[in-house]
Amino acid sequence: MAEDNPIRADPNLPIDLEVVGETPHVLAYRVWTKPPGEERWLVAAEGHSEDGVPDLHPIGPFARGTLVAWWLGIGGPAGSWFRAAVRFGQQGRVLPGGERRVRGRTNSRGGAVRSGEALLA
Amino acid sequence: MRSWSALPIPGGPFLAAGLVALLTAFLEPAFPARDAVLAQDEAPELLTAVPETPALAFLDATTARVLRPGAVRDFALALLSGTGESGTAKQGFALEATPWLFVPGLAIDGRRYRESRLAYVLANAQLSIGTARADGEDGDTDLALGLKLTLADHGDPLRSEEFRRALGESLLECAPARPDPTPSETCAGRETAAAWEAWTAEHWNAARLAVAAAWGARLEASELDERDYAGWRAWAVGAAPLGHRAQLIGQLAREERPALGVEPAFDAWTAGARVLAGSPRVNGYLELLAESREVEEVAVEGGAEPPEEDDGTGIWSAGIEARVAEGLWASAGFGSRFAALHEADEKTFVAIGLRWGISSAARMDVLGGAAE
Repeated sequence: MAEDNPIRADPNLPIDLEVVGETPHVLAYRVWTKPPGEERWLVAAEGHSEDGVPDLHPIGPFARGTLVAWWLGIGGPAGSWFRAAVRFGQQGRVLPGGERRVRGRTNSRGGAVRSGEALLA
Repeated sequence: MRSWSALPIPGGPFLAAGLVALLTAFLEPAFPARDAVLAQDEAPELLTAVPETPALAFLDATTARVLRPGAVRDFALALLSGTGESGTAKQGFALEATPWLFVPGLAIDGRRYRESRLAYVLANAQLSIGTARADGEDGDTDLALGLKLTLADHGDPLRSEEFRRALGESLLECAPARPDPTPSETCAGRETAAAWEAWTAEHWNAARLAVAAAWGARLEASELDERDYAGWRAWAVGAAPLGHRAQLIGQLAREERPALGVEPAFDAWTAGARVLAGSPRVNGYLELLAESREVEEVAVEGGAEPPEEDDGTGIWSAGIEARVAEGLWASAGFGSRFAALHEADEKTFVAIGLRWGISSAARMDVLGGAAE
């Protein structure tokens, strides 16, 4: 799945990882990376939308072939529509394939989870 | 928002049943010489929140199937599903939507939701459309368009920085240690529901203000091009805390209907107030509701001007109610229905029943609701 739509990044530059909420829901997130040839995932960034820290994290640089994975936890009204995005950028620009949008509805208890994985190419 | 959680109340049904039985036993013998009745048949009801779906309230219709699209494409498809192959309106159609979700590029995140009143009102604005079979002609359809605005709600958890921070930390605890291609929503749902339940219980009597309106048309033979104006209806409901254990709720409603088919034209004002005292689960109430209705009589023979009939009625009641589930209350009480012009019409009654929605604030309603 990760190889279907890789993120085209410069392996010599750090990546700006941004988690953006587009609806009033509370968001929590954790992002991992796995260098090529490694088996272990490393936490690259984590936080939530209410921790008072900007949800923009410089990570990397990463070699080509690195896998990046993310998890989003969403909380709000039961059955409500939410929208959010995970963005990967360099030098102030979103990378090709670097905007991953998530949308959907929270479950009957108000929670939702979305996750994804991409290859840095 | 509609119902933020569906947590059952331990022992709630038993508590409610006990209250109802107790009050029935005590109250029924108390009015032996009067017209004691069970249930408030045809009595006007005080609204403790504006209607969830104003279009359906205008039509006096209910349906379990309400379409709630979250994107423009889904909205268009939902509208199409409300029309038949020949372009006529389908009866029993209902749709709720949050218009701002359809505006390209518009985002209302948590910060804007908390800090901007305009963003808050926009995020909670709800558009509704409904159809129902018209009285009289079989092929006619009544169509209504409704709008609901929540202007303020101090009990909305998402407006609280403290609530949001605590929920954010709880959600982060749900994050797995390593990537999981099929993550579970159990933890996120559990943490959100628990936080929500605690917050709403603590703020059950918070101040809030919401307004709603609906406009209607009658479609002859269900043809969208053959419309007759069917009037409008508007509601305003506000609440204010009285200390930590009580709340005052006020309601004002207006309705104007033209003569349609065999139904005479009428207009009506309804005003009411309710004082609650107790807790989020059990409370005592006292309420007063008055209605002034002016009905235009149908034309009399000989071309004389038809008379108008004024009808002022009111009702007061008091009792106890207990929450048996989220948004569902069992109530037991007594009261008196009276007519302003006809003292003899006064009737005392014992009221026992279930009611939906009391104290269930209308925040982000269109974002919420059953999945469709």
